[in-house]
Amino acid sequence: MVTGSRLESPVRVLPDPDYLGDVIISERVVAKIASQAVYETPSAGAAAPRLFGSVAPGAGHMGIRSSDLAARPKTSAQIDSSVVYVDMAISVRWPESLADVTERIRDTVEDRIKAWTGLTVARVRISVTDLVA
Amino acid sequence: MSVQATTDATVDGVDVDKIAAAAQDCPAVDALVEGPPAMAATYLPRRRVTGIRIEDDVVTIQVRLRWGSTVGQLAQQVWAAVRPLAGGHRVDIVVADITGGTER
Repeated sequence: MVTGSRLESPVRVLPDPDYLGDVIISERVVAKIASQAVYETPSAGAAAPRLFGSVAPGAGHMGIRSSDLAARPKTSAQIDSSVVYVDMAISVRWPESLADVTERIRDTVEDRIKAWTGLTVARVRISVTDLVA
Repeated sequence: MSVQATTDATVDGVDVDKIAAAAQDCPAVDALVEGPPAMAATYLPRRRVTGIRIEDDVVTIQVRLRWGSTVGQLAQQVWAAVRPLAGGHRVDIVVADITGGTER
């Protein structure tokens, strides 16, 4: 059976000679798959980290990335048994429709995580934190 | 169950080197990896085998998935390659990481 990360809560099955073993997927893997889906969407990309709602001034000089449509966004995933919750912060190209772009990303993320890992996506929370002209 | 290690890399009747080589040869496996979440590694005299742990009746194999392969393909390949070498142990697969995606 396929379960997510968190080895402390594995599902153990009674001894069965035909039982091959468990498959455990790390949250990092799911997050990377989700991040790539945004990267492949031309109208969306990485967003600059925000401090109290604003981009920190001079952040670029401190090695902190800025919003970039050609970069992968920061993404995290939580796995609960065989269900996945994804969170991501993205930037979107101005003046694309936020509804269209986020829906496209959400569909791609759900389809790809399901197809590649067998896990079910329960939620994709997308924060659009910047618009890039 | 006691675990006895010898220099020929046999732990609990299972040859760790052979398991590692078989898993590494699977097309969907980019590499065997240690660290979280499973912290899988086998410590032998003067060396360490990354990504394999043999404990009780379970062989744990921790891998980095190759981009473009599914977890299902990975599991089928690893089980087919490793089960004959596992001496009746159950084989658990931990997908710890995936290689970077393709460029657009």
